[in-house]
Amino acid sequence: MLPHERELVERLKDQPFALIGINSDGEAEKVKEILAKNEITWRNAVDVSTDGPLATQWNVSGWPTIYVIDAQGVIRYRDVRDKPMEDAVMVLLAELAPPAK
Amino acid sequence: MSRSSPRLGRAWLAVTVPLVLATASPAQEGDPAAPQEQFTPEARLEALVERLNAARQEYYRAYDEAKTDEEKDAVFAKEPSAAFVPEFRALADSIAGTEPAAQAWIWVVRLSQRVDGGAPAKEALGMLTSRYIDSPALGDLARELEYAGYSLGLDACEGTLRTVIEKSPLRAVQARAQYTLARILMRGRGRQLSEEAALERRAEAKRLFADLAGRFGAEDAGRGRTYAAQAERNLFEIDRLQIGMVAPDFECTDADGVKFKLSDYRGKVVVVDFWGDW
Repeated sequence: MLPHERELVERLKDQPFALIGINSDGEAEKVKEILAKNEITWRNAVDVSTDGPLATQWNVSGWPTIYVIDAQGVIRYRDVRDKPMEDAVMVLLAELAPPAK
Repeated sequence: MSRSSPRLGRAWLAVTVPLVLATASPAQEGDPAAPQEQFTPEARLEALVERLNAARQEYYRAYDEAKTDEEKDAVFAKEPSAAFVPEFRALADSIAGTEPAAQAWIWVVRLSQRVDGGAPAKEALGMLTSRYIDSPALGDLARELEYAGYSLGLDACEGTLRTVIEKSPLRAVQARAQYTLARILMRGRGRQLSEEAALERRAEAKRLFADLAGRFGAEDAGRGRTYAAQAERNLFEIDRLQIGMVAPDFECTDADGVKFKLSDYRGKVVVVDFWGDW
């Protein structure tokens, strides 16, 4: 998961793409430590625990849980990770590319 | 005795020899009864579960110590769950009709989902829903069936849960079975479904959650949550978090203390990754 995500974020840094982590490990200080330890550069929300407000609203009961959302804000894929997640992102980025002449 | 397999014989020896040494008395010499029958069904189940746990610890230790992939594969091939299936099954037969027998059958379900195409697990489900339908342990069974669809198939899981909902005399068991059935219906774990079938299943899940909130709303659903609260968050997922729906917005604070919203990212492809470093 993490090595692939690091690589993907780096490779797509100039594309209209964002990876947002919703972290359930603890308060901000704890999350900062974990981000540093794992060399995570992307934004992470502090959801404090597995009973945090976002995990509760989105009814998350297993970790990781992943949603892939298109540029219009529509949920297009869920429960994809690693290569299938990358494939999903590539499909949605291709939808944003200007039509070929 | 025909039901005493060699393995069960060894099992009995390993678990009880110290007890026999400690308690042996002349009156017990030459007792024709099978020796394990001196012990209560509870004690016999407990002893078997302890042996399973010891075997698993040994397995994890060997797996950790294995260095090459070949060594790990060799250890993995000896994962002990399947070997214990006949023992739990024999114990359930031997103490038939007792509450620990129901629990022994549940152990068969747990351990045999990948044994003989799940045949022992399915037999156990049949026993539990016919002979042990009054057991409070069926609440545990219901909970565990949520993730058994991949191995046992959705039909076996859903059929069992529907029978438990209809026939268990215990409200807590009925509620747990109805909750689990609704969860399986909403997610469709373990089967490729047509879009139409998935929609129909989510519609039934909604009816079940609404009914659960109405009839069992104030009751404990585990982890300090009520069924009303659990129904609400699952209904939110069904109504708002499906593929093709605009993702519900949220506001949160990042690790640097900066507030942001999901909708700030409109115009970008976004991966939302709920995760933890554990």
